[in-house]
Amino acid sequence: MNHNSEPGHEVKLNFFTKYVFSQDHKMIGIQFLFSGLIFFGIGGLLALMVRLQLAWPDGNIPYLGKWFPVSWGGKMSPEFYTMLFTMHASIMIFFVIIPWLTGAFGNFVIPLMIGAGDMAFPKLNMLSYWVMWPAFITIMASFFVDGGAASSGWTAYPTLSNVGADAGIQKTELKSNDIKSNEPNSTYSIFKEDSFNSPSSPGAGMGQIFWLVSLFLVGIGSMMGSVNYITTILNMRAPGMTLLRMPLTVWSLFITAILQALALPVLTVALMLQLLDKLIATTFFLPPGGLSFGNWHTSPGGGQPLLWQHLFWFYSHPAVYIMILPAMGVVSDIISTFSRKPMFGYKPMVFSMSAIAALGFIVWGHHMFQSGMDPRLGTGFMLATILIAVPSAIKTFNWLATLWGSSIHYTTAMLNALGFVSMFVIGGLSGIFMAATPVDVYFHDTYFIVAHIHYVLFMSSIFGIFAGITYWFPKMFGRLMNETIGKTHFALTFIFGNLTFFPMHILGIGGHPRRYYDPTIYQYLENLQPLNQFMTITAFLLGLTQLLFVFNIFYSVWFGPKAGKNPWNSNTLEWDTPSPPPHGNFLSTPIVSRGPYEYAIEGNLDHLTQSSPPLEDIK
Amino acid sequence: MQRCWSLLFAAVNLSAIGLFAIAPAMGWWLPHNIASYGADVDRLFYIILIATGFFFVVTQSALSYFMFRFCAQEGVKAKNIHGHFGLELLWTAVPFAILVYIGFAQIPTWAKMKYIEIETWFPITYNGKNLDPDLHITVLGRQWEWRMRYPQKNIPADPLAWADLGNLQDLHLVNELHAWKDAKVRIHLKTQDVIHSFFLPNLRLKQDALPGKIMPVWFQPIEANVRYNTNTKTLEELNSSPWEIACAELCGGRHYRMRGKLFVHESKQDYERWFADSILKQRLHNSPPTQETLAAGIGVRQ
Repeated sequence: MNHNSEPGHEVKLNFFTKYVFSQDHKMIGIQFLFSGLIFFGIGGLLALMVRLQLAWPDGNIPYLGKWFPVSWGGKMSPEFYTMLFTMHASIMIFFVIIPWLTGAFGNFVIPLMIGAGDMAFPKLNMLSYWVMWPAFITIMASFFVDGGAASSGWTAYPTLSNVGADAGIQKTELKSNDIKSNEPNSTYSIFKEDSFNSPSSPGAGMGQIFWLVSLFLVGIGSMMGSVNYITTILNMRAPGMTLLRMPLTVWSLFITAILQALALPVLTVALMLQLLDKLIATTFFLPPGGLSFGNWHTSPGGGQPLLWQHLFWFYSHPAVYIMILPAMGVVSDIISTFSRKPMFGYKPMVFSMSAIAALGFIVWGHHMFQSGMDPRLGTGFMLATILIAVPSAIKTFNWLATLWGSSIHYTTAMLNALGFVSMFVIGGLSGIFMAATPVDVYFHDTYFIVAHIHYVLFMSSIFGIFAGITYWFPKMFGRLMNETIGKTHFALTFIFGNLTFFPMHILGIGGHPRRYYDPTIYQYLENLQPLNQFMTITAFLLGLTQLLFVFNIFYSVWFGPKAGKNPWNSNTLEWDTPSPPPHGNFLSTPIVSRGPYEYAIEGNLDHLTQSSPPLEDIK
Repeated sequence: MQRCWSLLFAAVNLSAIGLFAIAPAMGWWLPHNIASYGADVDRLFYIILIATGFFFVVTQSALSYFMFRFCAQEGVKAKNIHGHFGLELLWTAVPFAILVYIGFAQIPTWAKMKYIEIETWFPITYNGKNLDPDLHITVLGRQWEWRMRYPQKNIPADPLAWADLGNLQDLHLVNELHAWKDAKVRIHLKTQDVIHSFFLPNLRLKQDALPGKIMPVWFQPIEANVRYNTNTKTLEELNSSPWEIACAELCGGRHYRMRGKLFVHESKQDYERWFADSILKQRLHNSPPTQETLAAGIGVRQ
C-alpha cells in the first residue's frame, strides 16, 4: 500500500510537488484539463482558418483579408491549407478530446468515484502526464520546421506521408520525357535530395516526422494511463463497491482504458514503422514497383500502402469509441442526478457500452470500403458496423426513459448533457449512411463524413466534456461555476454548433469532397458555396462563444460561490468528501452499501448516497 | 421559464428537418444520376434516410416533450423506476430488425458495383459474370491530374496485360473520360505516386487508386451528354452542366485541382468516329502530317 492511499495522512508539499510534478491524481487531472484547454484554443483557431479559406477561396475575405501577410498575396497557399486541417484534426483528437476525457476525467474522478485514496501507480500517473509535454513541444515546434507542419491529413496515409528524399533518386535523363507539365517539384523549390524533405508535399518532410514523434509520445502516455486506470478500478475499489455498483462514468472509463490498452500498441507500432520509412528509408508502406513523382523515383519497395490503413484504423476506430464512451458515462451520471431519478436500465447501459467496445474492434474496415481492400470484406465490415447502432440505440432509449417521469433541474451541466443526447442521435444516425457500402461509395470522403465526425466529436463529446467540467468543477476547485454564463454558453454553442455543422450534411449529399482548397472550380459544387459562407460565419460565432466558457472557468476558480461537499445532492462517492478533497481523498475509507443511482426513494428521502448506511439502519 | 429549454431543442431540431426539406428545391441535393446502378444506390440512400428520419423525429420529439413535461415542480417527486425488461427487449429488437434489413438490402447493389459474384445463399441473386465490358480504359492518377489511355480496339486481346503495359497505338488524354451511352466501361485504375480517389458524383462512383495495384472499376452510363461533330472536329455538349471527375482522397496541396470531365457519346459509332479522329490528331502531334491526316482535315490550322 502506498502512502497516498492512507486517509488523512499529512504530506508536506512545496509548489513544485503540488502543482507541477504532482503525483496526486486530482492535480494531474486538472493539469490535463488546462493543457487541453490551451490546445482547444489552438485547434479551434486552425479550424476557423480552414473555414475562411472554404468560404472565400479567391482570397477576398471580408474585413479579415487585409490582415493576411503581404507575402501570401492576401490568401493562403494550398499547401498551407492542407496543413491547417491536418493539424486541426490531429490536435483536437490527440491533444484535446482524448486527454480531456481519459486524462482529465479519468484521473480526477476514477479514484474519487470508487473510494480510493489515489491511483494504483501515482508515479506512473505523473509520468503519463509529463510524457505529454515533449509531445506538446514537438507538435508546436512542427509548425516552424522546414516545409511546415504535417499536411497529409490526420490519417497520414502513405504514400503521401511516408516517402522521404532518401528513398529514391532524381533521374535527370527522364527530363526530356513527356512529363513536363505540372511537375510537383516546381511548386516546391526547397526540395533537396539530401534532406528529410519529401517529394510528395512540403509538409510530408520534417513536419511529418515531428507529427509521428509527437503522436508516438501521446500514445505512450495514454498507454501508461490506461494500465493505471484498469489496475486502479480492479484493485482499489472501496469495500462494498462491487463492479455492478460502480457509477457509469467509471464503467465507461474502465471500458475505454481496456480499448486503449489493446488498440494503442497497434498505432504506436504503425507510427514507428512510418517513422522508419521516413528516417532510414525502409519500405513498409512502399509498393514493390516503386513510385515516381515527376522525374523523381523511389527505389523499389517491398511493402503495401494499404497496410498502414489497416493498422491505423485498427486503432483509430476503437479510438472513436475512446472519444465517445467516457462522455456517455459522464452524461449518464449527470442525467440521473439532475432528473432526480435512477438510471432507467443500469445493466443494459453497462452491457451496451461493452458491446460497443467489443464490436468496435471488428469494424475498422468500414473506413476502407473504397480503399482497394477486397470488396467482399466490405460486406462483413458493413454488417458489423450496422450492428453497433443497436447498443447505441439502447443507450439513447435508456436516457430518454430516465427522463420520463423524472424531475428535471435545468443546471448548466444538465443542459450540456441533454445537448449531448440530442446531438448524439444525429451523429449516430448519420453513421448508418456510411456503414452501408453502396451508399458509402458516394458519401466517402465528402462533407457528409465531416458532418458526422463533428456531430460525434464536437457536438457530442465536447458537450459531454462541458457537462463534466461544469459538474465536477466544484469538486476540483471548491467553487461553483457561474450558471448564467454557463447557460448562455450552452445555448449559443447549441445554436451556432448546429448552424455550423448541420449544413455539412447537405454539402455531403451534394457531393462536396472534403479537404478541398477551392471547391468553386467545380461546376457541380457552385450553388453550394453560399452554404459554405454561411457556415464560416456561424463557425466564427461558435468560436467566439467558447471564450465565455474559458472566462467562466477562470472567473469561477477565484470568484465563484463556495461549494459545499455535495452541491448537486448527488449519490456517488466523490461528493462524500470535502471540496476540493484533501490529499488521500477521503477522511475515512467509505463503505459502499448500494448502487449509484438511488434517487426518488419512497418516503421522505430524496436520495441515498452510496456510502450512507443501509436503509434499515437509517429507519 | 425552465420549460423553455425544451423549445430550444425542438426549434433547433425542427430547423434541421426544415433544411433537409428545402435542400432539394435549392439544388443542394444528389447530382443528376447517369449510372445504371445509380438508381439502386439512390433508392438505398432514401431507405436509410426514411429509417433514420423516423428515429430522429421519434427520439427528438420524445426528448423535447419529456424536457417540457417533466421539468422540476414543487412537491412533485420523480418516479422510482429501475428499468423494464419488456421495453429493453422492444427497443433492442426493433432497431435490430430494421438494421439487419438495411444491411442485407445493400448487398446486391454492392456486389453489382464491385464485380462480386454471389451465390444464392442470401436473398440475393446477382451474378457478376454478366459484366462483359464494351470498352476498356486505363486511368492513371498522378499529382495532380488524371491520365486516360484508350485502346485502339475497344476490347484489347489481353486487357490486364494491356492495362499494365499499354500499347503504342493507344490514345492518351488528360482529364477526359470518353464512353458511349449504355456501354459497359471497364476502368483499370492506377496511380504512379500517392493514393488518389477516382470520384464521379453523377455515376455514384468512387474508388481509390492504390500505388502498386491496378484497381478494377466499372460503370455503365445511361445518358449521353456530348455529340461529335465530324465536320468541325469538335465536341458539342448537349447539356450545360458537365459531368465532372474529382479526386476524393487527399493527394497533396493541389488535391482539389484534379478535375476531369466525363463525355458520354450517343452511340458506339459516334464514339468510334471521335476516337478515329483523335488518334489521328495524336499521331500528327507526334510526327509530320500524312496524306491520311490531311485528307481527314486534321491538323490544318484554322
